[in-house]
Amino acid sequence: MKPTSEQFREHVDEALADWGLRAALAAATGRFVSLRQDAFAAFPEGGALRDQARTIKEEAIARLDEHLEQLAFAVEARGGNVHFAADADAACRMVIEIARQRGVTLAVKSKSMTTEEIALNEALEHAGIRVVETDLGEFIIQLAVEGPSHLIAPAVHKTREQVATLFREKLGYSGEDSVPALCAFAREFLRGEFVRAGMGVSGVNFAVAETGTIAIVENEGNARLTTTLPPVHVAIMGMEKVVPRLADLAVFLRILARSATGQKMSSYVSLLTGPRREREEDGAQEFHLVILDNGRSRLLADPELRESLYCIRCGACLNVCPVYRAIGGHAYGWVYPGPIGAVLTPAYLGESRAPDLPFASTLCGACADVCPVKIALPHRLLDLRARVVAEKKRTKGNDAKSYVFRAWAWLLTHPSLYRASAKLARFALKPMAKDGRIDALPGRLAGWTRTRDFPLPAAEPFHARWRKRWSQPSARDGTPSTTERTE
Amino acid sequence: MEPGRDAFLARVRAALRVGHVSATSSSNGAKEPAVARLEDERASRREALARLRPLLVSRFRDEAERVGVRVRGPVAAGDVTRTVGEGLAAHRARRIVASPRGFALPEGFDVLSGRDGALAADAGVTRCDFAIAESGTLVVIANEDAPRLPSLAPKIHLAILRIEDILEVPADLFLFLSPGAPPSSIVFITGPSRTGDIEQTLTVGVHGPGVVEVVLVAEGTPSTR
Repeated sequence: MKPTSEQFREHVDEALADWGLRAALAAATGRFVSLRQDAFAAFPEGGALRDQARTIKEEAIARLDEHLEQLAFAVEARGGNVHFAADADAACRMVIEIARQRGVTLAVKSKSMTTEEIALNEALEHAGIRVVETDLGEFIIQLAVEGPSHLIAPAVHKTREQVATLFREKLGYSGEDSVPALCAFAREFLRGEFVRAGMGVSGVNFAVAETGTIAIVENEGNARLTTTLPPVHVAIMGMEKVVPRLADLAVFLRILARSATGQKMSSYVSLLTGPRREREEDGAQEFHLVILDNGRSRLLADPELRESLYCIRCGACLNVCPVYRAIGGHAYGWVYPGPIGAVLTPAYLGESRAPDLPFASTLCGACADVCPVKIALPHRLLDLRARVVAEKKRTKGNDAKSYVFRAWAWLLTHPSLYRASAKLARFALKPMAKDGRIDALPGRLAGWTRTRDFPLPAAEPFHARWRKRWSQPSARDGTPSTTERTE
Repeated sequence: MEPGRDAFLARVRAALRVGHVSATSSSNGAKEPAVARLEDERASRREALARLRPLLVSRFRDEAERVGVRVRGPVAAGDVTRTVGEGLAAHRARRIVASPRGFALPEGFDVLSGRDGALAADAGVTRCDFAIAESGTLVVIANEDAPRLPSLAPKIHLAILRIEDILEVPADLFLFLSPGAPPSSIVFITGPSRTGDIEQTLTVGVHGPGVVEVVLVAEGTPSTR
């Protein structure tokens, strides 16, 4: 997927003007949020499991080199093949090479953000290999020639009528506009593709270093078909997906689905270890695991951003994010949307390729509260903001805003001057105010009041009230005493 | 080892040194028990699960039903064949694929086999190796007598489960798997195949079975493992 994260502001304007999209987003994210809340409310172990998950990820990443070596050894010991890909191009070349050697002309794919990240479909098509997305949502947006708009609900912005029209135009569908009829049609159509495909391509949710096992989590069963029907299975994983032990999966399996969709467990979890064994009747005969860096070692070398490698792609941070809920996934301009996308996109592509994304957050902290591996997303966004600002300053010098903030900071550290200027500001602004609010500031400040009011500074400012309140005899050093607090 | 791999791992090592962060907690995630301790741990967990069995059976039933699975029984081992036949008849299945391992199939159905059979069948009949009560999950492990497609390709999946094989949480499964290399495929099945991809409307059977039914077998049935 070609990143357009530089045009974030344009994307936002488009998204905000699309009322259909906003209604769909509000419904979907609201539903996911309440499902997740219910799931964790009935799950007293949730907190402890999140701590364990965090610890496992820290350990997995802190010794990533050893775990990757161990993983490769274990996969090869079970008769699988392992390929290490430094970047997207290398990964695509490897998959194309595997396909060519076996004369594959049709590949089926189950949903995988990592393959979106490396733009595998485009590369395979370019090499003359047809690729069919088999997750229903991904299938729909592949037909519509769009990118996914949500980590786990990629076609959340499409209505049933739009899907029916798409099926009619592209696949000759002649049924009604009902959801079950559309699903039944997709099942039959895609079953044919599964049977004909020479290769199945999947992502990986977790890879176990100790045993060479990959875990794939899904609800539809298309990943099971992708890894079972075609003779060759190629799984593509970001190198951060490794966990040390099989038993670690017990922790992640209990929090992933609860965080993502509020289910106790997704419909299907496949734990696959190597290709089918001798005398087994089905399953891929050949198994390839492609392990991808593609910018991840940059995050690994970055003490501030390293923890974003712990992400298990549940999507919970998207659903609670007030920014994502207003603009949806496409606006972020690359594969990973929402708060985690606002961190990963500039981290993977470089801050200059996505300079606005770290600012696409109110820093409300809801994302960090729900993150199953406790990534401090608001802090990581602040780190990135500091970098973007430092870079701007280096290349362009200070802008007007930075002078304003510097003056502001100076004022705040000089209390008597601050008080005096607050009084002055009230005096100057009072003629513009109506009921204590200003709905149009003059001159260059007008932009600020275009979509919100500016409050008139209070007649009795907070610091004055504070002093009055706590200057009574029982208060020491302006700190409220316990008796006063319970008054 | 090809040069790409060496360079890849060297880059990872260099990055690890530069970006070193101290962990926020010092414990070590899941502990790896020594072999002797593992046997003890298994034995005591097995006992605990046996004590919990009536609770586990009802929890499994509740959770399975919550995700849309019909649970029949527990029936005596001698009644499994008949109960499976009733389940198949209720859904008007005629052609079946099966890996019932140890149970006879009911009469009166076309029993197909192989990949083409699985793709053409109305229903698949399988044994379950384990179940997880907490989430109503069936665990189906592939081997030479248990192919992957019968629980996946047909629109109906009928699963036979011994109540002794109902575990409480996923960690129990990993405790009881034999040490060493895991089987080629372990699949956790929780309810029917489902999607909400069009307008968030839950629809079952989009790729895998839309109907999942379980026949519980009362205590005392021999294990297939």
